[in-house]
Amino acid sequence: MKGVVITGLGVVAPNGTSVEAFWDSVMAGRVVIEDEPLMSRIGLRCRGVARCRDFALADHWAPEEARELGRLGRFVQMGATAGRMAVEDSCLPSSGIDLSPGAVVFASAVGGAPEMQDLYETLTEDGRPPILPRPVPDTAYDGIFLDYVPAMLARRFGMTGPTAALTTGCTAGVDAMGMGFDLIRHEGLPFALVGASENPLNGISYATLDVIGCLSRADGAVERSSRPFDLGRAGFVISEGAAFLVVEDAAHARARGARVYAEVLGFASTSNAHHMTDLLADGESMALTIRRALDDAGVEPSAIDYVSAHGSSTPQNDLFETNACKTVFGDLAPSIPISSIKSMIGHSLSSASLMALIATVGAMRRSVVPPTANYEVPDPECDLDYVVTGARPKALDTTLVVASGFGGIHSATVLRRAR
Amino acid sequence: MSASGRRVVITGLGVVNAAGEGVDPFWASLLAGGGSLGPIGRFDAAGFPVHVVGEASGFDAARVIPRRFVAKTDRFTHFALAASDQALAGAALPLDTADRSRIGVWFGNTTGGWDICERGFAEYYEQGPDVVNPWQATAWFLAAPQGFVTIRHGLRGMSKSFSGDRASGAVALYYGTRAVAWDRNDVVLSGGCEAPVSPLSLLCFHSSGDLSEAADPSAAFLPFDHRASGLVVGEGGAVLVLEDADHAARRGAPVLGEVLGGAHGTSGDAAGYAAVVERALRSAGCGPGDVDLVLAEGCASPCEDRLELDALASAFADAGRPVPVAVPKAAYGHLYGGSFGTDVVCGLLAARDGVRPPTPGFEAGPVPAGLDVTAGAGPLPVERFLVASRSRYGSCVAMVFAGRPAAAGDR
Repeated sequence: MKGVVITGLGVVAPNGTSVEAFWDSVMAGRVVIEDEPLMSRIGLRCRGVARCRDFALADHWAPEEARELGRLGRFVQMGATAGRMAVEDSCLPSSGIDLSPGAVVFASAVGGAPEMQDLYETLTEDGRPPILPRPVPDTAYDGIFLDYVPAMLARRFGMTGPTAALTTGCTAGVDAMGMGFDLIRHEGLPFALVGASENPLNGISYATLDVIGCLSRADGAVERSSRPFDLGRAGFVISEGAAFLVVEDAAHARARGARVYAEVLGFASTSNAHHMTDLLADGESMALTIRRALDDAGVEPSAIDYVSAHGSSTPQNDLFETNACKTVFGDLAPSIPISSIKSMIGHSLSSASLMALIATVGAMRRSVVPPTANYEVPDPECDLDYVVTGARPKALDTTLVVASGFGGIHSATVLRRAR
Repeated sequence: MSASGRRVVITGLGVVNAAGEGVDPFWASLLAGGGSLGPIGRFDAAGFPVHVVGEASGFDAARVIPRRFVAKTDRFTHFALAASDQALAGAALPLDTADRSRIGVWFGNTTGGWDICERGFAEYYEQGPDVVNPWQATAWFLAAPQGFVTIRHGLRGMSKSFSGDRASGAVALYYGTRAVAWDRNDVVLSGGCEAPVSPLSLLCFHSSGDLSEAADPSAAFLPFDHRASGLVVGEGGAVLVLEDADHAARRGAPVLGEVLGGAHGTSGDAAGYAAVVERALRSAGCGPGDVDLVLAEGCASPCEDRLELDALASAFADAGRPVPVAVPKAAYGHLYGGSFGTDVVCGLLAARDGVRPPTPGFEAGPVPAGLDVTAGAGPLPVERFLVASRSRYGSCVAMVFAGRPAAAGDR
């Protein structure tokens, strides 16, 4: 079986718009969650968001491209930018290698939800039905649905391989990585650009998630509203951002002398077939997913040095994951560090799992375990090692990244430090 | 598939669209002709720039789906649930004893559930953001059909959903097949669905520039014709049961066809599209003369039609005879997520019955000499057929199927 390595990274995150800045921020345990006045203004009980405040198209694109992207949804803008960063970071365009066989696999959960809400407002009187047949900008379709970003990146870099967009919600980012992994291993592609982008920071997204109790209603300072594994956790903090990777056939990367960030050893994804949002506390469905990822990787549970958790800070998820780890790792579970960067940057739905993956790559390169911020009150049922007192120096050879999402989907991938 | 990985056969089919619900009613309606497009009936469309759609107006979700599901889900999910039920029943898959951790759901869908979404917006602005309906978050999102189908049937294998504009269902079906070939699953329910006939959704689709503004249902969607003025969107879905050939053989499953090969690539021009079709043929071990029927994208844009016809003419230049090309979706509308699966169903039934599917309304167009487009249905022996799809962004999928279990010589 072919080896697959990560040779390019790009991130537009609430805590950094370059990979090094992102890693610095994650390892420093810096929390970038802020108040969202709109939530209280529209009468919701949730609080807290994380925004990519440093992101500006003009910092990344020539005026003409910035103008084209500026007419489209913010998730398109962040996605195109992170995708371009990852390609350029891989040095593929400057390597002189034929990029045409490359694939682009993109992912998003809600696409242009804010732009869709704006459109609804434009086409109604004060938001009241009916929807009126007023003119719609010719950018609406490209700026709301998901397929512009992969096509744009493929065109810009001369890739003519597969382009696709996954819609599997909060696992979609790591699912895109899994698909790129399979395209390289099974279909012989030399590389794939894989990534996700999300901007769910609008009223209807808040309202529909708040009404089912997903979003954090935690007491105390808003900065502490995402507190994975803490007894007082009370929902996730929604955030935005994009993350991309270049995954590449290891032999292809070696032949061109590419910088290798990490190796992808295995991937798996399953469905719990139980409920669209509820999770059973026993964690059995995540345990199955992790076992399959380990099997796919050819790695024993005892080899795992760190688990990058989904850690969304909902009461059910964090217990579910804790029990999945206990099932898979048995007696070893208490000695494996587990952390959730959502404690610092919230949950950006599809792109969150790739941000966690990029943080994990940084952790292996820097030999530091990222912390879980905001942890104060232990939950007797969540009693594993969540790395709660700041980043921890530790050599990491083999790591696991997991994600869960709406639709009852669970995904997991196994990574190894570059050799 | 012969190119790589395990062989994949088709053991169940399900369809819902404007032409009918269920494989045989749909097929009979399609062959009877007349078309199933009509004026917008789901809402008052006075003043809208789009006039003709393919509504699945005979479809009653409550008849096939538990009431609690109907209330919690959007119309696009209803199509997927109905088509999945049909496909599973046809496949006679014993779910109680099957390893459901090796059965996945791979669907395509472009827009998500805008019907429930528009109602959610109305609640948000009329009643207040704190009282929107609690089902919206899970009903609207694009992987909802996948999630609800996995829950309904207890399917725990690897499942994925794709958006891909007109090729949404094509991408899902191609990778659903690969998920079996790659040994990720033993069985995959694959296809997709779309429910584009709601006011906001339709205006958004229209902004793409790809939709026909014609008012006459019989002349609104004319693929490959000189009068082509854009496509007509349709409601519906299609689901196929894709199965590892050995798995199907072990349980004595009804084999309706086989996936012989396929390819996926991206290109802005005819040469790139042709290259994808040629790769699909090669992966199937077929020459251009081995394909008896092509089911094409046929999106009825003069420019895109020309590109597709050029691509097909180039890929089939050495077929040695004019290759029949059909676009049956002209009868019931472009189903986006549901489109490709419905085309595969048409190909399988064409092979079963020795009938060429119609391209309703076609009179004359820029069809190259090596291709043959005909309006009506008619006798045609079909053993192998190719289904092609191309998105507005240039994502091209082509797959080659055998309409009956491939004999040894086919492989």
